[in-house]
Amino acid sequence: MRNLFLALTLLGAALSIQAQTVRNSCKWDEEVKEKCKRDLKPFHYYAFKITKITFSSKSQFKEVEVPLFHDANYRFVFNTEGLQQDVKIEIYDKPVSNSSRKKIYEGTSHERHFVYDPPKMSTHNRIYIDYIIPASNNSDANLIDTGCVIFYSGFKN
Amino acid sequence: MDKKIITALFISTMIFSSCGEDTTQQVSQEEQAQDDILNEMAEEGEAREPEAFYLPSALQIGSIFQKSGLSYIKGLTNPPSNQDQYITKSQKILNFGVYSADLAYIILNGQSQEATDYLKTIKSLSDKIGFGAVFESEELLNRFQNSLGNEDSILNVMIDIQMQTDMYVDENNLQEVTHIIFAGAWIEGMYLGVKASNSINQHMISGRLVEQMTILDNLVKALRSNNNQTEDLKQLSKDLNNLDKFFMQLEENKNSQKIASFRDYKISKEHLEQLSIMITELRNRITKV
Repeated sequence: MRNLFLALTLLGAALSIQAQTVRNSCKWDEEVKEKCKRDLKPFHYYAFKITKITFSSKSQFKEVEVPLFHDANYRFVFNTEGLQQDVKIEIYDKPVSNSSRKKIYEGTSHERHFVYDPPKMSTHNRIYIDYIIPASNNSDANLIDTGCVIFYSGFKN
Repeated sequence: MDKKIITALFISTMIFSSCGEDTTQQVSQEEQAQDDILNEMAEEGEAREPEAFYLPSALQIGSIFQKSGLSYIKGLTNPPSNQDQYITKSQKILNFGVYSADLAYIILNGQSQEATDYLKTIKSLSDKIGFGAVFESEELLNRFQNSLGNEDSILNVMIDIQMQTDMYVDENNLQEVTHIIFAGAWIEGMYLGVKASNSINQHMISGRLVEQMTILDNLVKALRSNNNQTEDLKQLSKDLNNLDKFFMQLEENKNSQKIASFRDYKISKEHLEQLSIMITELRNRITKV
């Protein structure tokens, strides 16, 4: 009887897991790569990062730290075509743990593809990109929305 | 029973009344929730680390040193003939990074003849560490050969190689390997900076060396987060951490976060010498055959 109960519980759990569908909107194809590479010019490619996002019932926060070197100019290219919902993108001179940090840039993923050149004076040797992710607006509990932000950076000495 | 009815009516009333609210309020609630997140994060204080961080490429480090007047000294780089002597996977991965930094140094100093030998060495090691696919393309290698002697073209080829490597790493979840590669490249880049500086460029180069030290904490964190902690890797993390500790306790480092240019980094001759010794020992340990 106990085994039967256990089997039924496991079956129930398996069925509920199976019922959940992931809708991945992340767009990372040749078109996006070319667009990002094109917009980096005349800066030299430095690094790229795909930040994967899974929307959930709660708001979320992700912070990415980018090291910068003095006397160089930088360019950031963001592509957010692979997101179901808008995400806030904020850039700071210090990490979230530092209460005296200054906001250098604020935007939303609504722009889909945009270029930002951080002003030299506002950057020391690190810069922090914050992604503020809202709670999922999808009312279907069995549907999980995932997506991504593509970030390219370039430098010029 | 009555209590249940009252509760149900209260919930129904709440649901209907909230349905009547306009979308503006929903948006502002969403914004409030997002602001709350930021405040919450700030309150958590220093315990919270950024979720991800970048490490620069060997080419960028080389380019920074070169712009500061780093001269070319023949025979300073790790000889390509050493590559066959590296037996363990950690040695191969680390020296892949070392040779990448050497290639950047050679190219940025216009040494075309040597560049081909170093690219061949990197290609050969890439097969052994699971990065062979990056260098498979004949077109890329032909472009490299044809660009030798033209600084802009060869730099573009190097940048393309870097970009392809980064994408390959992302697609194949090889981030842990790239942290070790970067450690090798960083140590070699610093070694070249220490050894190839002279009385004319020393002030500029020492500022750049100190600037590079500021990313060491992230490198140590990256190495320690590696799931496969071999003895070699543990030793490497320990050595780099000691170097970081030495740097962090220097009096000259206290205001390093506030300075506006790498030229303002000041380090005493004595401390620079100590730093040079530590870097040279570390570099010799990873390249020894």
